[in-house]
Amino acid sequence: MIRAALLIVLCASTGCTTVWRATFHKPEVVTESSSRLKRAPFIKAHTEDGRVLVFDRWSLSAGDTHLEGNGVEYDAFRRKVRQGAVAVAVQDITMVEATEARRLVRAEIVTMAVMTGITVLITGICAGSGGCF
Amino acid sequence: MLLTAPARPLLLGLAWGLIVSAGCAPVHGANRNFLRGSRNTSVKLKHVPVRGHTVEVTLKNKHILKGELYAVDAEYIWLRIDRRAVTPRGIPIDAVRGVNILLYSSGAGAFVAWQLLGTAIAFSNGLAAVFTVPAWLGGGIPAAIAPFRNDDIDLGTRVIRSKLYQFARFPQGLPPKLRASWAPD
Repeated sequence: MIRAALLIVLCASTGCTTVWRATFHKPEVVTESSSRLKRAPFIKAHTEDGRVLVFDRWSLSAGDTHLEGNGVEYDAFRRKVRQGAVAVAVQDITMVEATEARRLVRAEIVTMAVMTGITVLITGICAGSGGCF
Repeated sequence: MLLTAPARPLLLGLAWGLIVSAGCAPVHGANRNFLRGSRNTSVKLKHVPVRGHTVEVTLKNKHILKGELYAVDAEYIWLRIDRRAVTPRGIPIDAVRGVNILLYSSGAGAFVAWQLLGTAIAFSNGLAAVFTVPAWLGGGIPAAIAPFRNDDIDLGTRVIRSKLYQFARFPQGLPPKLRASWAPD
């Protein structure tokens, strides 16, 4: 809890960078009962014709023929085609990408910010007292 | 060990700066499943990126081509160089010396400006500048250099085929119909 609060304060004051972790799987992974995809907040189903469907909730249809759920479908040129309830035939999927956002705290920003704070503080004290020179 | 007063903050700053610059590389082994950082659960579905990373392809003739990575296959790296165009350019892998992948925008130029400004202000610290100026030189310079080192990945020719696909718009390869129409003559 404290760590999370510290992270939020740090990010709010310094700006964090988001990077996207990803693992890539063969299409069969969607029909497996393994937990390889279950921990991912998002999955992308890439199709042979270049479409990509990004899901944040997904399941297999009856008969395991379609991957369906809540998501966004983009065409090969990355124009949004559909949002909300989307589905794709399992046989059309050529690759599955499990992805999640990772927040990088930029340590160099923290270092520079601390040094700037100390320097400005000393400058202020010196300007006020005149005793530094 | 005897160290003069100005040398202590310089060494301390340098040590901290080296830790900062060495410890933040966000990737390990050029695999996207090893990207570091804490889990960000606030991201919405619409923000999940569906385009390729920006990469710089260095050719053996030393030319550099920069653009969005569409795909990589056995013969070509497909790069969208012109943002206004949709069609990517197929660059023969045999002509490539290496690929640099931009992971995020580091703002490295701003850090250098910040470092210079901080050092300049430190000179106004009077006697305390004996400590603050060396601290800025020792800690600020490595911290300002760190973004240059940590925001990207370099791939040599031996691993292009096995690693680069992870950063492409089409990690599975170009759609066959598009590849047929885009393939160089």
